[in-house]
Amino acid sequence: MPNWPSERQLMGTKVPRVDGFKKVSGGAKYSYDINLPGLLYAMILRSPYAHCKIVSIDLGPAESMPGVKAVHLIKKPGDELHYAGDEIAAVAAMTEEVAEDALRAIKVKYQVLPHVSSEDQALKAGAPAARAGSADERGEKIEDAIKEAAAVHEGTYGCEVITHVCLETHGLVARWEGEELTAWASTQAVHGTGTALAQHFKIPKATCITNFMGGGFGSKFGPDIQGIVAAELAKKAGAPVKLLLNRAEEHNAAGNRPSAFAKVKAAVDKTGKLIAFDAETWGTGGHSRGAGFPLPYVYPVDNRRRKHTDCFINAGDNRAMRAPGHPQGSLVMDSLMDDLCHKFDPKLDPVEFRLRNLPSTVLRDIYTKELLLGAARIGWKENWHPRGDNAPGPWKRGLGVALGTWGGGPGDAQATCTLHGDGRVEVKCGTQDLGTGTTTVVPLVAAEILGLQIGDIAGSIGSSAFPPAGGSGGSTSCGGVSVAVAMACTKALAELFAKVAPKLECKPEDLQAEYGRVFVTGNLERGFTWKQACAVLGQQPITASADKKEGEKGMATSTVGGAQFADVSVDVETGRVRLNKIVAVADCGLVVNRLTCESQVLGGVIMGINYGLYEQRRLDPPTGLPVNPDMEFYLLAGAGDIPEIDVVLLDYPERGVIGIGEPPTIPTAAAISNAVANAIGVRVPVIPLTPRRVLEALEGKA
Amino acid sequence: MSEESKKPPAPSSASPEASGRFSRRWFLQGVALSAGTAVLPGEGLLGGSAFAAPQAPARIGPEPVQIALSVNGKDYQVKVEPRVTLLNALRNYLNLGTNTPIDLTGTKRVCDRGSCGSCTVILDGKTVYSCSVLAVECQGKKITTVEGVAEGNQPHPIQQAFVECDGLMCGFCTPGFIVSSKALLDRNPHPTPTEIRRALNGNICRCGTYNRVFQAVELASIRMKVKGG
Amino acid sequence: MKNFAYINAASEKAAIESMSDKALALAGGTNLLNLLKEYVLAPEALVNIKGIAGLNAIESFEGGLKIGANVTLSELLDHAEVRGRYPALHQALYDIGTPQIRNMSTLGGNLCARPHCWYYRYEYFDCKKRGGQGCAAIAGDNEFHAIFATDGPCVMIHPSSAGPALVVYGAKVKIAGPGGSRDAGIEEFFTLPAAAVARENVLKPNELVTHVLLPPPNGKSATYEVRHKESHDWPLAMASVALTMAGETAQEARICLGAVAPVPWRAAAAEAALKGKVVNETTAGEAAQKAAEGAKPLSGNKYKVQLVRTAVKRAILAAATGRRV
Repeated sequence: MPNWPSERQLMGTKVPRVDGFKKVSGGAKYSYDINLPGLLYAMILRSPYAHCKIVSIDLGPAESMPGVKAVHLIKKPGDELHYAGDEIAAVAAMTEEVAEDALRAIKVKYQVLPHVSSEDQALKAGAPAARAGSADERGEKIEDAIKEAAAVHEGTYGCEVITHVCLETHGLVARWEGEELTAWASTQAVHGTGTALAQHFKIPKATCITNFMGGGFGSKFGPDIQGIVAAELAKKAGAPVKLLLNRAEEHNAAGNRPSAFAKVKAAVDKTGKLIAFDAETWGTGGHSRGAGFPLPYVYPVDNRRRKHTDCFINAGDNRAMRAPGHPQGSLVMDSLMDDLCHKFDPKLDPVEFRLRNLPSTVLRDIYTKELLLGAARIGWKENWHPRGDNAPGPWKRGLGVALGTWGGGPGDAQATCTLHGDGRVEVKCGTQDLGTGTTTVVPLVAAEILGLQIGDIAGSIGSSAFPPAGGSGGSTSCGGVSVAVAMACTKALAELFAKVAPKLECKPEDLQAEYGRVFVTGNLERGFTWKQACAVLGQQPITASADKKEGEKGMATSTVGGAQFADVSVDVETGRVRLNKIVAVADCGLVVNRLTCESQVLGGVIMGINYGLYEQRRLDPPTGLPVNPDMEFYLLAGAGDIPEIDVVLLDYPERGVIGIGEPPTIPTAAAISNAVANAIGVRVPVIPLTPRRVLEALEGKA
Repeated sequence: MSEESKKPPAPSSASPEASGRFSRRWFLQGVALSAGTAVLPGEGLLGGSAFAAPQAPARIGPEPVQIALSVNGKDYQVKVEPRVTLLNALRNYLNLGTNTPIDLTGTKRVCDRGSCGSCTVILDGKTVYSCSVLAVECQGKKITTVEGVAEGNQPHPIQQAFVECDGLMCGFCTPGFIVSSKALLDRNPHPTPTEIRRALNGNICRCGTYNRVFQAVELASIRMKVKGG
Repeated sequence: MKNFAYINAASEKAAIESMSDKALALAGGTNLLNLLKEYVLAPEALVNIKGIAGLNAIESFEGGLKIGANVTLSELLDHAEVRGRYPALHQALYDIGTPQIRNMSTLGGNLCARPHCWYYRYEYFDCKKRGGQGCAAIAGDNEFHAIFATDGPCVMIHPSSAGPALVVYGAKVKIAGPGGSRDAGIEEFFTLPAAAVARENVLKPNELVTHVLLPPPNGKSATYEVRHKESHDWPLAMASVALTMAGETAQEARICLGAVAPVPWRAAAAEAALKGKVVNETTAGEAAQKAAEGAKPLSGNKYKVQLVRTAVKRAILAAATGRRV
């Protein structure tokens, strides 16, 4: 069975990104930055109402405007528009300014229809705005268990809809050359996007290129409507077209994380173990998508019941967002666990309470280690107190903890490795780098296998012209890509060994490649430099291809558990939450690049801070129109809001490579919410924890 | 409008590459730098001295007007409507009329409402949001973008430190952070952690690299101190 | 945004001659450009007033300061006298916006900025200020709106953070217009929506704030601001306080609230409560209670009443002790 080298020179070390200098110098060309001769700029006209029907559209004034080169109708009269931001028509013009003028010149008559703009409105309205989603009932003794319980707690918890806020918005630049389409797209899936474009236009192939990409977080897996429209306009105009969404469009129409609310009743026995769980849950994922999330979460309970309702409101649809469903599940479950622990025994340490309720899976040991390690790093023993800080003054301090879990197995990936007679090494893989560091993973792994330095490898990703790889989602890229690259390099190396062995009068299996040399194992002198070795290839390079399937068993795996701790101070006279410190213990298998792996954890925590304290998509209740589709009232943490964040990687190299993108963002908000409850003595039930909500919770307590 | 403004832009002769500021290929790989429509300083309409004229205010536009922008020590002629922001002029207009784009696209458009900092440039020594400045306001002023932060052939210590500390992930906010950090170090070579946070409060990073950005600024500051900065 | 002509005014006279309801003054641009981009404003011309000679200096004036309207917030923050003698103003400016915004925004712009109410800012909402039928904030999401003067036609909060500090210092605003120059007391400068819903101050379309006149400070002062985020954010409530002290006793008190009313909101009852009292936690708390009297919160901003109390109490104590609370 293939496996990673037992002694690794590069994997697990801290390697700066190979594309770092391009990013710090402005030299990195994102799709948004692609400027081509004759480029046109496109924009989309969108619904100004939460729900309406198009009565008529007159594109004439736009078409006749000087500088406008193409118009494209997305919807037709009679079509329904389901949310403010739903697409209607698009124009391409010589400048952005003209495109904007043209959009505003389009005359549309609307028939306004009744709308639903909040979960509450949907629940009140009933079907079709509110529909029963998944129901889950296991165990037969919920009522009995609750009757016999040592403690029962009932609570309501919730999380608001948030949006991805990718800094580079969705969209692409489309260029036709005859029947050939090339798209520079901001996407998490170059192959998926290329294929979807080819299918739409019924052409044999469309090439999708993503050299640099300004964040996706789960929302960028295909061309979307705006990508198709850009290509349509480019075709009509006979010129390349750039269409990237503006910030408001990005908020309204490019995906979001659904809201999640839960009314839960749960019970523990006298040992403090969960014995019953009964939940009604609901949330909204937009006008046509559900709002599912896992619950119960992490902590097993045999007797359980859950009824879920999806609220369909006149808002943009959800898309996967960094660990879909899990941050919501974690917020509800870990808040409940703390409240239950407090009800059961106010003096019981919540860490101890969690240890009593861990699953009996592979994660049990991992969680145990993480809880103990994290507790030590946050100063739990020294600073934890039962709920409610009694210190004088308005600032109250508290600690909180929460857990999360994720899969993260190896995603589809193929790679090729080409060794040239002059020693050059080319590695290609049709994956993409969303900022996660995949561009560096490719040469890093290749160099490890070939015994070279990263600079010796020319790694290429970010094009559908390269061997197929799956979309970068679900924390699956690193596992799949690293295994595919390793296998391709291993195969290429075996071919090289076969050609070099006769020259060294040894068997190919006696050879190894390390320290930039190819030599007989045990005798560094009996060999060649890498360049000398490759010289045997002459003008016939070796190209080896591999699929991650050839090595995934043993080299990559899935399923991680993570624990996070928060130390907060709350000003009870203003409701302001200040973070003192976050500790994130991340289970990450075999670390490929320690530097970027830690960055991923850091980024996950910060996204969790935003979720817990700041972010909220707000729709005007009476009209359903967005009030904060911007980056001013859609709050995101800035430098001054960031506490010390202690990232602890729990290495398990024997488990192989596991993706790390998603897991570290899961438990942060719950840990913060628990710390706030610990500080002020009362639960603030819904995140984000705004001054208003904290003050209202305190008022309820008094 | 002055007579001068009706002259066609000066023929492109000097290329930005010839200035020597961009000659390190590794550093700006992928930037298709080539001949721009460069002019001599002060040649553009309202450039420099025209601004000082005390009498009858010049009314320009709304039709496109030819203006000169001094970006990273080099003058460019662009023809823009008054409503074109400095950000859009840099990203979309420097390349117009040339077959080889000049492409100063390092400055990013993210919120376009003066909230996120991705479009930060240094205008006459102060950081500003280039999305909230009109291009026509910038004639006669010195504009430094992320492409102009490097010191000759060498990356600026702040750029080196960002790479080493991994003060970036997707990199889309990075130009803004680099420019803000550089402006901070220009003004205050040895900032405290609090001063670093405060100086970067106008830049949003969605991937969440803040802590490493702070480390990078500290590292660069220390290195500049060692070098006698 | 809709296209416009651009006029670069080199003198006050040139600016005034160019300005009208269709030709708006452009200063720092941080507020105006956003409104143009949203089509909330669509003037035929912009008149750049930043090049006007004499409006970008801070000078000594009758024992106080004469501050040009084009002085940026960064320049004010860096000014030793502002920091040393006018702490309430310095503290009010300290966290406005972001470093970039403070580099761009001018003091005149801060006083004349249009509201950041989201119902005003997005053209798809009904807004009386924009000539609409009603105020969408009243039945809408008004978490950040006014709690005082909420029975008027518009429940915006005034966006100026400098305003309350200038009120407690008794500042004057120098206004230039076609008929020459006049001074207006800072409190008379700001107007309530009930007076004229379409504007926020007394300026006519062809008038310009040229200077702010700060009299010499008369005692101790401070500003306290409550906000959600530490980084770029707007205040949820703020209070500026100036105290004339005799020993521990407040002989005179001037207290003004920000971010809670359509104008900087003078808290006269709180001033009266503090006058003649020894300043301590108790008396500051009593004055704070008075400051919140008369508040009529909207459906979603009752919490701001508490924030007013906290801001006033902390600002009083900060002024008296010279320490941030």
